[in-house]
Amino acid sequence: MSIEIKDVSKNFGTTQALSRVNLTFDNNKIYGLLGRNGAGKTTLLNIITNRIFADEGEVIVDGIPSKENDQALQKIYMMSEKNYYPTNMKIKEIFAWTKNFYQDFDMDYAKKLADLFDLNINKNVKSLSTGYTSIFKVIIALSVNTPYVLLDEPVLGLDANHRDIFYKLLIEKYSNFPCTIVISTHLIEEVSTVIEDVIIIRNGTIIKNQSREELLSQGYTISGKASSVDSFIVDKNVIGTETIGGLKSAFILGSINKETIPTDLEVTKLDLQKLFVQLTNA
Amino acid sequence: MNIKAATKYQLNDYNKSLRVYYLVILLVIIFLTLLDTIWGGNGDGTYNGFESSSIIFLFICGLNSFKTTFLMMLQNGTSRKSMFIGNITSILTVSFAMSVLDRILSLLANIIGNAIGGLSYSGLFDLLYSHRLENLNSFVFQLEIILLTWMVYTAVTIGGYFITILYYRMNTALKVIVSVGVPASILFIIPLLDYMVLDGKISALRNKFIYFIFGEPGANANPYSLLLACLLGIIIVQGLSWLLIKRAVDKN
Repeated sequence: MSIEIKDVSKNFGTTQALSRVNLTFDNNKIYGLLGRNGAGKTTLLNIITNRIFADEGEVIVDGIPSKENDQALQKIYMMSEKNYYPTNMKIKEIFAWTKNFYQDFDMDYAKKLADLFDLNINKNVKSLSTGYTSIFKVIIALSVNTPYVLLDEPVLGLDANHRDIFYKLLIEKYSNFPCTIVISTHLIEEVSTVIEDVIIIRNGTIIKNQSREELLSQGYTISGKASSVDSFIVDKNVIGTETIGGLKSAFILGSINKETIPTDLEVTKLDLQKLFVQLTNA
Repeated sequence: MNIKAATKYQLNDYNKSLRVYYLVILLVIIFLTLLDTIWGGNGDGTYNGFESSSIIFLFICGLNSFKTTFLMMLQNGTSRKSMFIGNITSILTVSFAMSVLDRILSLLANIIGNAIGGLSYSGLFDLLYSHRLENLNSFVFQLEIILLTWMVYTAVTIGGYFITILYYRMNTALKVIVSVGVPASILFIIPLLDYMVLDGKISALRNKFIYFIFGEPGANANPYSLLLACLLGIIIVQGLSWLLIKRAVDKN
């Protein structure tokens, strides 16, 4: 049970969006698909869901090629950053139509979530703000109960409270109904606690595909007085620093020897966002 | 396959506009009947051809039924194949329902008009093929008209649908070329070419084609020529539509 992406390439004119991408989304895991703007995240998700076609390669969903195959496509729900629903349709009508296409869509749960987010389901799509447009799509994604849920920038326009509710609901849903969730986002710090595996894409190529723990164990963060940090990092592979007042944090790649660390410095885990910036800038 | 849901969705797409359309048609029938009752009443009032408005209505429906539906289908894990089958099923269903409804309406309009004020109504195809009544009984004639109307309605909806897919697939430059080039060719270039170079061969061919479909002027037209032309048109245009749809991608 998995989504296998085999040797997928895609060009838009002279721009190469994806280059021989090989990837597997295993069953019941939460993935973070991270990449800078234009890295190829949405293109990859669009190919998986048959919205655009790959120039080369194929996508296999639970052993079935997904291209033009309803049986495979019905196992996936993709919440897109852009709107695909008719803008003059009411949210409750969209819920009803989703139930027609996805038999396992939980209407009661969707209505419960709409209440929780304070979303008026009698409104039509075009009357919603950016935040609420994301919310209604998030609600469908959380209620649709497909084995694979792809979320492209799910918290776009959501305020801090709604983002908090979303992440809690996502974890709750995942616990009650284990499925494969792929979150494509720029807000790395926020999703870093939710995701299990990290896939980093740069210029259409997968440059990292490993568990978050494994990835973050490749380095560490050292914090303390600026002068102490500066002298400690002289011969280290520093991927970034942050200074607030007299305190400094340095993000270092490499293994740690705790005996060599001065007592006035504190060691913590590497920051995913800092690592991401380093990896995608290189 | 998601064909059932795709068909249901596309049928529903027609629902609201169909209700509004028939409300307007009913109001027009009532208005004309009242008008004739109040100011007419000498028994020679006639009106005809609601089918023409149905043809325009369905052509516009066809023109408006691709992009929104396509995106909705992509969002809901439905393949282009299922969408296409759902589309032709819904077009055939709506066209058939409208051809039956229009026939009933025309008969009713005629009965009510005659009963109240001597106002008579003739359908578009009644006018064209009334000579058939000499050889056919009225019931078979009505069935023949329904069948013919069904195919004409289907053909025009599919025509509108094809144009909208064609435009969806084209880039901006091509859209401009086609939008300017096709009317210019039909109105100026082909007639000029025909007149100056081809000695009227194109217009002769065009007339031959029109006469084949609608019959020669003054002669009794055969409805099955129009039926055959519509059927061929449906098959060819649907084939072309499928070629365009199967490679259509999200431009959202």
